[in-house]
Amino acid sequence: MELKTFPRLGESCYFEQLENGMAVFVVPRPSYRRTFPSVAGDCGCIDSHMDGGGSAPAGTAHFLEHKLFDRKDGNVHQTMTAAGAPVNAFTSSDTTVYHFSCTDHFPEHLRTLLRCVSTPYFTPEGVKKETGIILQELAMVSDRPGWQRHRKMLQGLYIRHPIRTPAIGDGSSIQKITAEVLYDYYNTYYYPGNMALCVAGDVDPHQVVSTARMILPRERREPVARRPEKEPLISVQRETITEREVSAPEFSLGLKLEPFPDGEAGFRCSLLGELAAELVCGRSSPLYNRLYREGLLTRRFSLGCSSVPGATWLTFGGESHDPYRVRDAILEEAGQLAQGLGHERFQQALRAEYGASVQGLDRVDDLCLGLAHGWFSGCHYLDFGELYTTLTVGDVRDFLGRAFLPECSTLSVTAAPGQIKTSA
Amino acid sequence: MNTPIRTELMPGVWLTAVQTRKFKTSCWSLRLLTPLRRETAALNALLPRVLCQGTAHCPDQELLGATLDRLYGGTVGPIVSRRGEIHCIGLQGAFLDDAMTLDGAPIFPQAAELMGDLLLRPATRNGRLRAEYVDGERNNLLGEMGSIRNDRRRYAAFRLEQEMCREEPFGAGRLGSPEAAAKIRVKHLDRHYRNLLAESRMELYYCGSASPEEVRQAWTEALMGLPRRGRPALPETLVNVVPETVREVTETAPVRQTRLALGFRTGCGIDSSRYPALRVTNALLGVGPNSRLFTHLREERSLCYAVSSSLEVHKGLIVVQCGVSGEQAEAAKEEILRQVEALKTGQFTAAELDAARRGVALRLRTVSDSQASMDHFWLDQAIAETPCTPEELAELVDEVTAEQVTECAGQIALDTVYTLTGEAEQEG
Repeated sequence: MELKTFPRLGESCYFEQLENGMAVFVVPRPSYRRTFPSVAGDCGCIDSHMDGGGSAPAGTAHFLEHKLFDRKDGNVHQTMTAAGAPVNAFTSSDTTVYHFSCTDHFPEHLRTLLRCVSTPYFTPEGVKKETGIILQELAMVSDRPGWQRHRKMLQGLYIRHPIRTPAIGDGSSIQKITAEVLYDYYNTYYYPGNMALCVAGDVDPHQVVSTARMILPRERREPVARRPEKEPLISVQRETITEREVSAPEFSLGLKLEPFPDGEAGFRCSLLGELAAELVCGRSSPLYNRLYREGLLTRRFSLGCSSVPGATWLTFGGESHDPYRVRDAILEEAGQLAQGLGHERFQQALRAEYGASVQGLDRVDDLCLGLAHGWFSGCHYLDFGELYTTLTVGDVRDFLGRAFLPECSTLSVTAAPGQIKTSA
Repeated sequence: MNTPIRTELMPGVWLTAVQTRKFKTSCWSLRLLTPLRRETAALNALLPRVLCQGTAHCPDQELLGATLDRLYGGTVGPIVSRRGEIHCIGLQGAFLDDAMTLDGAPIFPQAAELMGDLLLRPATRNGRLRAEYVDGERNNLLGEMGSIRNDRRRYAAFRLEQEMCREEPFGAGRLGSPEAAAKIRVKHLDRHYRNLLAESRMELYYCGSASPEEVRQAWTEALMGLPRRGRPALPETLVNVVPETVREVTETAPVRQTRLALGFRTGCGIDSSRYPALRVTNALLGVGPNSRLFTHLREERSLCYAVSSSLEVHKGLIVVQCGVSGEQAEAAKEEILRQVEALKTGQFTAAELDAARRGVALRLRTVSDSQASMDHFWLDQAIAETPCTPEELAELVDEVTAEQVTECAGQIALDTVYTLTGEAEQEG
């Protein structure tokens, strides 16, 4: 195995790509009681292509994630948890992750999980039962104002990209999912070359590799690159409003960017994107504090830079009685910083971002996810320490000048009737 | 093995210090422990927010933010939580551990100083807390109180607790009432602040690479000038409340999914010898995929996606929550009650009991892997005055028998059923 060290971060990482194409990462955490392994697949809600032909109904990736725990002899979600290795899974836009944690019998639990992800068992009865459960999950998320708002923001930004479709699917698409659909989807995306196994804990890295080798299929299949359709940079809709009962109007401001490239260059862009967003309206920025003092923003405010294959966007979300003014202020501030961002503020923000990212290494689940994402997009997650040192004030100014264009923005607002005046 | 050192720095001011090189973060918290009361709950909830607005040194958010940025993106924030009928309010901080800085300059002394400044040397005007901060944060607090309704799950739990504990201090809620909050002005809060400082029991926490001696010294210096009146005792929590009749409360809102929340009394808290059995009983009922609720409501009957029970360990309350379609709500409620009955009559398998024990014990055994979990664990232990380590408690959990569970479940009594249901079908 290859051992890479990251002295600046006090980290080291073992890596090996198996003959079948699967990437294996092991990050030693010698003093932890818990071992945290995760198996990530480079497929998520935005992937609907199926090798067997046709397109998967919306929500298939998520439905499959629920059902992959089913086995002929029981349900792995239940058996592993009962055996002291609570296991769970989640589906994001471009990744599906299965993970567990344990304090004892790690090799045994790892074998169980790897067997589970490499030998599906879908039945019509199992699918029928799950449909009811997922419809209740849909009802639950639909009752969250933030979910609707975020969905409408993405639909306001993208005209074609599958990020428009809600991850869970909708009432009718969920009911179109059958055991055959799940098998077809599984066969399209679930093969070792499309997956990464990441483990953080006090384990023998060679044992992890040999276990993976023993359980998983040997055949190598190269991942098929996603070919997202070209999207215009202009947003679809500048403003949308959803009426529903909320205590205060809520908003998500989305800004569409040119998709980041793969590899280290893209990773560097995403660090730059986060940094730029923080500089414009982060907690210590003059703008955020002015808007807060003026009562236009509250503490319920967040921002971030998101990237999936074929789509990159910035989000600023929170509550405000005048989201339109907040949007205008953010765009204006970005314009000004693009011209006049000073070196001192840049350095200060960079140091804060760096520190926050290093602290993030204490969250082993995020670390494992970061390693898998990095592998799928062609970079090493732990290189962030070095990449931060390459960012310059000029990079940020340039980014700010390109990213905050009114015609590439969308503002999604949720408000009760009469709670807000529209900008028109 | 990350065993904390506990010392009393000043009368009624306790420090829990964990020295470890495991994390890249140093974690700090300070809490004033004061009785939860309807009259003062909103004042308590408001105070730490106002304190976080600025110090004498960094009197506004921009200056405070710049200081935190220079400290490698350190964060500070208010704590407002409850442990039974004890209101725990204060401040938390997270900073990059000294070993991780780029230039080798230590953060630790400045972090300690900042925590102390926030508590004792706030931004003032004419010797009082600043009125504009009190007014601004009061409005934000009112906004947060209102926003509980946006999250239906939280709202159902909140309303259930309000109804169930309407005659006990616990019913005052974590944030107090909007009516009380709306009336707060700077002079009230300022007086309250000074009384709290002098009269509250205080719990400090640090977890990071510094030695207990360094931590003790840093906190002592940071809290120089803390007024003390005697040695404040811990407030008490009412545990032995027995419901006479079951209350049913139903409300409507524009929701697609009906939320059910059932509140039970257990008559047993964290300081009881039955506590390990109570943890296992709650897990067996509704924690994780092997629990009775998950197996019967979700896996067997597909009634819901999420169903679980949670335990408030100081007050001894169990709250079962689930989201179901309106026409299935009655069936779900019956099934939940059937599962509670099953525990009382010992109708569970050895495998189910084993899974429950393992789940609880695993959580305890991994407490030392998270700085926040350690903070919460040791605070709970300090309040319960049971100096038991996570490992010791895990060993007691390993030993819990079926009879102990049945006995514990026998004490569980349904108090209140809260239902939040849709007015009409909503568009998805």
